[in-house]
Amino acid sequence: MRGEALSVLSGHPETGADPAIGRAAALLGGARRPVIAGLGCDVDGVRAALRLAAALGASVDHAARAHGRSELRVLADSGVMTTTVAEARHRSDLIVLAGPGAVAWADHAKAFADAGGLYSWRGERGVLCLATGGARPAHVATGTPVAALGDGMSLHRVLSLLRARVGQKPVAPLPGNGPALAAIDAVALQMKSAAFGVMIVDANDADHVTLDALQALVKDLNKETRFTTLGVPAHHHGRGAHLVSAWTTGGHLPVGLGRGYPEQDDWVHDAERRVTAGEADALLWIGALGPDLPAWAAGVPTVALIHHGATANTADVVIEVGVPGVTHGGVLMDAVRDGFAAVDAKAPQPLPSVAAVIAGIEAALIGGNP
Amino acid sequence: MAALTFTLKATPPERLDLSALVLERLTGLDADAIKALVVGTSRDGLTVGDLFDVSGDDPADIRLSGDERLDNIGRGLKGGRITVEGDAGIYLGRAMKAGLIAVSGSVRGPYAGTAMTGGTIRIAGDAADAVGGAVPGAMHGQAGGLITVAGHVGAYAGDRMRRGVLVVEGYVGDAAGARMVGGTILARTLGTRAGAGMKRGTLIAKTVADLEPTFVPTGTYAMPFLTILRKWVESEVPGAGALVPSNPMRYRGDMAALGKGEVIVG
Repeated sequence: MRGEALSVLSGHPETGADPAIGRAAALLGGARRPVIAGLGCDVDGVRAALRLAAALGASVDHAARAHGRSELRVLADSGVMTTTVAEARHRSDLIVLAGPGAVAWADHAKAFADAGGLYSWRGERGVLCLATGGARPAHVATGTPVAALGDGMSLHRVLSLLRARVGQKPVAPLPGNGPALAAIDAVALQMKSAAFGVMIVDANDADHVTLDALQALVKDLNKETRFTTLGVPAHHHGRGAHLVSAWTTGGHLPVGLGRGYPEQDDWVHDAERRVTAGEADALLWIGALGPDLPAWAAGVPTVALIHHGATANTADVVIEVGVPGVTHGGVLMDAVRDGFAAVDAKAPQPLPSVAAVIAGIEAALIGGNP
Repeated sequence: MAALTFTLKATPPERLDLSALVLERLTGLDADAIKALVVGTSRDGLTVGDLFDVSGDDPADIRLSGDERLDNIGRGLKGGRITVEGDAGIYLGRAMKAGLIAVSGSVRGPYAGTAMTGGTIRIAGDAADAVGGAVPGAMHGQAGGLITVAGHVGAYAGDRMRRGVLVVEGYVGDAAGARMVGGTILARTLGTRAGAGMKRGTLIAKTVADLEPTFVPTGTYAMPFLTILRKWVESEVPGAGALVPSNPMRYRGDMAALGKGEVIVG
């Protein structure tokens, strides 16, 4: 096992990884309460990390916290209605951008840069901005002027007012500096009049209570028309990592394996909380797809697997790994197609994958002194 | 019989799961069997005997020296009394059905009293987030019984609360009574987004920060039930009866949801 795993790396002596792997294995193997975090890597990397966590009794967490703590929580709490980017692009005649993160993503991903012409019966696409703080999309094709509500209000309040008015319930007198009741009713009518509306939201803009309100509004709208949601994809392959954890351990991240079986707990196994509370005695940071090693990692012995150009100044052992889809192939969640996809290397380089480095660490544990 | 006393030998090196230290699971166990119970949460498999000095023999009267790393104290408690001298961690009194848990310090982890259906939790210090609130994926938070906090509490207190009473003598953080379907929260001050998405239930406070416009004012009343509530609260938490107003403003909401809840301010 040891020879086989290291042979993956020994073909690439220029990385200088082999002695580093020994030091990483010594650091992690000697720990009693290690944490594996960051977890920005491909499917093979996440699977290897969970296997190593089982061997070490580690907690595992992903950097895309909002996705796990808010978005997946609402999925478990109340259920969600959701669609894919392709459906939203072609079928939707009303794109609702809820919060500034939705506008930023729509512009960045350019998913709605054209009108999407698969169905001739679809009417003109409308765009509505809710509580975006004045942000408007620059790269979203629309047949009508972009409508907006609540630029100066919290997303929670705008959604609550719309829920009340869609349900034809009264609301308290509104302050003079906010939108008039007529403006709220006009937007409620616009949403009800859509044949197929899609509400886009970034989980970083909302907690679970606000996301629950958003899903409840969508359910209310579905009494009269069709409406659904689209979550801004979690950064650093967050959705993929959570799904791998779900099919491997039965729960999304974070998950702890200290007692020999997986225990899902958003608070207990939160990597940042564990490290800052002094409950962790070693950290394995995985940042092949980013993010950079955070400042809170300074307080704990750290092994960092990072991509070329990233820095990990506070880490004790730093191993440079390749980037899936760039230096080597890999399987990643495709946010547009909403499924896993194999991606080829764009610029192959002889750098080890996260999975190979972790397999090497695991082999060194077995061969050495865990 | 003397109180069954667990005294920490030192600050625990990891979070401990104390769900085994309740009356119904300790009844019939001798001192050696109690010391052999595993409470550690790492692969070290730490036992009660590794971490605590144990004395006494009455499992209906448990005394613990507290620490913020002690989780699941009194989880599923069906009777008896647990006294914590110091702080406690996550899931204090989770799903307890009867009995009393008294904490002399603060509860540093969230979800105290979640899914409890009876009994009493008394916290002398502060409490963290989601006191009486639902854990992720759960239909309900507190579903009965009484929680009293002498200090302040964090966000999401009573999130998805269903029944029972939560009394906070200090300040309550953001989104208290969020998605509530029943029960009563009484506090000195409620934070922002009080009652967000509540369907039914009652929030009572001296002041509320920036009440959402989906709560509709319905006027000022002298409500007879407040007199009964004040008397009962005063009997349970001496001094806290004054938090119940006599001629308050009443708001109905959350109109974003069912709208059959109320926020009483005065």
